[in-house]
Amino acid sequence: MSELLSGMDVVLYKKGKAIFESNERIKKFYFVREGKVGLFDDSDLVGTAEKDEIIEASTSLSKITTEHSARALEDSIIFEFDITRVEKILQKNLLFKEFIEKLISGKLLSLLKLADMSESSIYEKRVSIVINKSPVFCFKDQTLRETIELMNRNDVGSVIVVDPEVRPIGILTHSDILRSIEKETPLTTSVERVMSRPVITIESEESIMDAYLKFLSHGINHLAVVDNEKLVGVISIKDLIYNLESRSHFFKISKDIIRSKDLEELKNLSIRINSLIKNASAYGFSYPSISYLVTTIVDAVLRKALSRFEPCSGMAIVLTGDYGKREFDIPLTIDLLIIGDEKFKGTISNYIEILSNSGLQIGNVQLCFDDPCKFLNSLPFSKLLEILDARFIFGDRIMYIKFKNALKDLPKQNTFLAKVKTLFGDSTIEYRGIVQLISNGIKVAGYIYGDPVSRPTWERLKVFESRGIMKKELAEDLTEAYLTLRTVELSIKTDTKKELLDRIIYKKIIKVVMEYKLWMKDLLGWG
Amino acid sequence: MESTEFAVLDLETTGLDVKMDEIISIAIIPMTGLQIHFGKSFYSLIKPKKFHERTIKIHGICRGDLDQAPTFEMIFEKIFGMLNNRIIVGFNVIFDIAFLKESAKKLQKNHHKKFELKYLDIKEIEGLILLRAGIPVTPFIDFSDLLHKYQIEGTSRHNALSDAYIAARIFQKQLNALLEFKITLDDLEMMRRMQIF
Repeated sequence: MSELLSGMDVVLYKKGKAIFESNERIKKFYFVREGKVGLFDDSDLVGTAEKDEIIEASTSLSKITTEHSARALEDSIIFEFDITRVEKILQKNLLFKEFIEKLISGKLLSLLKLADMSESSIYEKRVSIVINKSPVFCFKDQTLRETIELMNRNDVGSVIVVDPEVRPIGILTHSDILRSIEKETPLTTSVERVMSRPVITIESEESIMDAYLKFLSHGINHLAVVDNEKLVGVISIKDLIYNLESRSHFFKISKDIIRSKDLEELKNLSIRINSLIKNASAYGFSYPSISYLVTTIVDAVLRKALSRFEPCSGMAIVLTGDYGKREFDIPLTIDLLIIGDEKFKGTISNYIEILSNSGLQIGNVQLCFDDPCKFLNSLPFSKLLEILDARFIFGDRIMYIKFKNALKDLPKQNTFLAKVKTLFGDSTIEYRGIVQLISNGIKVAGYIYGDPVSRPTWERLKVFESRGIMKKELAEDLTEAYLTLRTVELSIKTDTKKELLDRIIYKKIIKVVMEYKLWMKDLLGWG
Repeated sequence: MESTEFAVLDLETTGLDVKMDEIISIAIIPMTGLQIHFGKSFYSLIKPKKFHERTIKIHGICRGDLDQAPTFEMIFEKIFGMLNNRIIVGFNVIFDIAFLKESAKKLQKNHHKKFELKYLDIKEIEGLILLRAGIPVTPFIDFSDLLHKYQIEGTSRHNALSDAYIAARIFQKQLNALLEFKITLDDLEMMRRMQIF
């Protein structure tokens, strides 16, 4: 990251100003931070790049001349990185390279928050989240032999030396040991006499940026993390980089899942998902981008686990609830619906067993061996709401489509709508129920408007807006309110943020929800 | 103004008293017109002559850090080189300049005379922009208001480099607005003399 930052300019291009011309060899990597940039073939606009997108990355990396010229379509702020530095990083770091390649392929453009990784988030994230293991330390009067044994036992390259109050006073590293061997220092010498000092410390509540600056300014590999002067952890420059790249780890894990050979290996990978979510949340990634990543990974786990079964006709496994609509909660729980012919009844337990052993938390499992309509009529309202999110994952797709057809007309039935009305009948708004109130209502509205495709709430709202079903302002405000609540919920649950919602934001959310309720009432026909 | 050389400055000090307190860290980010040369920025901790316990609370800089830091004298030439011939920009920057002058004076090399530098304060510029937009100027513009107005992420962290970076991002947008209003540096100077702020 320092490589990148040490070659960075932040440039504001006024509307109409040229960023580069065509047939030019560009020496920079242009990252749009704000505004909008147009790519021109002579005077024809052939493409645009907006916030968080990179302009002509493949051209700049492959060192060919530009086909197009680029001009700012509005006042735009561009982060410009020196291309030779970007290349250096790509050569050194394969993960980062993989990450950039994905980026260039265009698939993940909108997800990228490279700028946030180098900017505000590293100022705001605390050192405490980077500490990933308890510190290995020894007391200053222990012998060199004891300390070496301790290092071997814990498989570490250095230990922090502390005084009786566990305050760090020095560090013993491999090079200190080598030096003492050279000087033929006896192994009974106290560690205090061979250690390096002082050890550089950082408070656990300081920011990652501060830690980073310390690593740079002292040219060291380890920092002792202290709370009230007492040692609480050690971080290495590697930990820091690992965390700064937590997003690229998402890519690695999904690759590993696909390559995993047995259930055990798969399980080891999938139990890391919750900690990956925590990391991503701590780094300030938005709820939609985390959910996109989580869905990609978890779907891969599910498919891999189920791949040991032959897909057969007459049986389908369907995802329902939050995860069905590609959203998630912590801890991640997967609700399922299995639809099938009577003859499959006996084999269902095999599927559930495999899924439970894949390391994922399986929640509710509904079984439907009946006629779909009959089955749906037998369900309580709350279960029906969950099933509206049904999404196919494995088995007989035709069977799933038949089921979905039966489901499609359900929200138009009067008995069902009457129950939806009860959700919106209450004049008070309870904070905890807002997320459900929004996602359920929007989902039902989707069905009413003839869109039974399973989608995340924010995508559905976007569809409403583009089809003119909901006013742009309300759709935007509601999306913002929903994502804010989801994000806050997530950060509270992952312990990355303690404080509750700001009072002003809360008031604003309530206002938006009131408006949304009116909209729903209008739709349900008793405005 | 589009090709004017600026230097965004931020200092962390042991306190607010120019005579008594000392500089403990400095960050300078050069700018040319609307370009922030973050890659050419300079950041250093500075070893004070005596240690002031209470600054740890504000800046999170501990004694151990400062022990290994260079003294003001050691980096003076570098600082001077980066500020010379550039217009200094910052938030309440007059305060930072006063500290620099005082520290230079203590070096007893007549350097302080050289610190008669031109400066711009982003708070004052904001006042001018508001005035142009027909909004009466309030003297109570704080850093977080500016962050909010210009939609810049981040909070003032009491780290000289991050604060200077944020100030540069604010100034960049202000400068863009000034260019739109066709306000020149001379206008700014005149406004200051007329004590409009």
